Amino acid sequence: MDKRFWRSFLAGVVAVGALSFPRDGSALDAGAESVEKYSSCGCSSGNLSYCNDQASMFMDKIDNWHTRKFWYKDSNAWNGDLVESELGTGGTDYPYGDNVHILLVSGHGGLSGTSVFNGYLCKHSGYNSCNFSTSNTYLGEVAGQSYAAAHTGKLRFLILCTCHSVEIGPAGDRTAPKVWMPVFGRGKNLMYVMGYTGTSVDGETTDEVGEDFASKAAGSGWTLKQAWFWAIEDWWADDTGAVISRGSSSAEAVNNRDSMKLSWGPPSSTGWPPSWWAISWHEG
Amino acid sequence: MKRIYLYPFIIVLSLAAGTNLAFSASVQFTDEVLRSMEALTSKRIGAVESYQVQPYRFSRESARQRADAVFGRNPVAVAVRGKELSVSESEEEIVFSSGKIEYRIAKATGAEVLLDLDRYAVAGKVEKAVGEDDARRIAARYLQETFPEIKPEQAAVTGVRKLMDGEGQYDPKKGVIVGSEISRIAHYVVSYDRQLGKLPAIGSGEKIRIYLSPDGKVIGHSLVWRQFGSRRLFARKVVPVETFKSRLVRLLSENKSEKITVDRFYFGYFADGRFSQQRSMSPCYIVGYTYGPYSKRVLQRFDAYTGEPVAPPQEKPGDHRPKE
Repeated sequence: MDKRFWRSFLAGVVAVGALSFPRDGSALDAGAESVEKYSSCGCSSGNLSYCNDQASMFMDKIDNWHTRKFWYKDSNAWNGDLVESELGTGGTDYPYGDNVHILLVSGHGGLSGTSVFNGYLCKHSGYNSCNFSTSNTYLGEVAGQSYAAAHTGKLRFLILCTCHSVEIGPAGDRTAPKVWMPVFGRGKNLMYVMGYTGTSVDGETTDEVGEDFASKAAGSGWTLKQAWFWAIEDWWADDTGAVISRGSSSAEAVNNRDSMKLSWGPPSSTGWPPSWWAISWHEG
Repeated sequence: MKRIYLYPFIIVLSLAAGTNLAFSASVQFTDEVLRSMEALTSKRIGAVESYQVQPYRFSRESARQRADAVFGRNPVAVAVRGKELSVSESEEEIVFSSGKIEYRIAKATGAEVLLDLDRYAVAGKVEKAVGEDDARRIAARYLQETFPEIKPEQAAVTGVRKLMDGEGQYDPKKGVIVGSEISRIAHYVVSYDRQLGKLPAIGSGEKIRIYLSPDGKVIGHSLVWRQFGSRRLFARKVVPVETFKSRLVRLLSENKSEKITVDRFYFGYFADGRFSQQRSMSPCYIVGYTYGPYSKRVLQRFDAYTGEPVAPPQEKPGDHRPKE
């Protein structure tokens, strides 16, 4: 066998490796939305003091490596930005929340029952509600999936700096999979959600969390899991971080949860819809 | 009709009542917070000293020496002993790495982090898992061997935390979890707070964290430990807890929320994080409160000498929406 054969063989191996390794090295579009002045957006939630710092510090750091698209705060941060635009209810996830690859949201949040998460930004005339809900989010949907006719969704990585955003719940009846598996199923691009189980802190000792995450995940190439838990552990409070990812097998879900980086391309799953979940959380 | 002259009076009265209601939150304290406050009151703390922090002067040469010492001796780096170190630098820190072992030094404080990224937040294969008591004991030994200059009475264990992994199956058609979950420990974190005199340092700084794999091997540490000047700045009386509490109630009740629950209370020296220079360390009260079930926990710091709240930093302007 001559050299051309070996060159061709080697090129083939490299190509297969590149295809099977879920990476795309291009810059991601990044966005953030945060609210502190709830009283000025017509909602009764109490005012906060560090959510806008958390979001702006995240954007100022991640835009060293990725593309800054928007940071909307207070009355410019709309609940509708996480609500599917094609539902006809005034949602504006296109062209906002679902038109970036990575989105950080900072504000109040909570659970409705055990299978719906509500996040609280500001209401606006188009979507006149004081919260968005995982029951009307279609994030990262691709052609062929529901509500992708006019616009597909881009979101891959969602960071929810709110209380209960990735609520773990009791062993044997976990909350996070019940909340997020239906959302994952609606959008092949959405691969990873990072947040908190229990109450999260609004304070000067945690405003660096988004920035630190960006520095490690984007700057140092750490996995999302390492970057998120490091960011929470490094800034003082008894916050308990949590993450969730998915896959079509146990091994795939675990690999996604443990090894996924910002450079990974979707869907990072060989089958659809995903039927395995993998979570991590702080305890103690 | 004859009583029409009463209308303005009634309107003014209603408005006043309404305003009062709208701006008067009911402030409650959890039993734990009340117990902490009582315990502090019983200590009858009078004058408390402020400490001068010695500024850290970053130099690449001394950072390199520290890195060489760590990679040459620390057990976390044993797998890469004698191997070439690569160096990268950002505005905040310098990073020495070899393979998956990273050693970071913060330029503002000299705080350091050593981590084995092959093991941090990675459960890996475990032959024999250790318990929390073992983790605490192993961390104490590592602390003593790695930082002999830190006396045991200067570093108080504040807890052992675990990072847990779990996975399971979901039936997308029925929308329910099926089967049973597999869960395991990914790593342990044993945390220490610095003690300054009789008070702890609270905040992100003056902390040691030691990371262990589930089988009890140390996989890294984090140390934020500032040097103090030879002199103490001054000693002053702090606002007594009871006075502070009544001021806090007055301040929080101005909030528009219906109910505020104070569920955290700390008293100690405020220590900033690894990337912030700090000139002095003074006592503070930190309280945590929530507005209700959907609320974040607000952590607010108060100068313990004056009882005044510390204002958040000036915010940056956000982006404006494009016109539709």
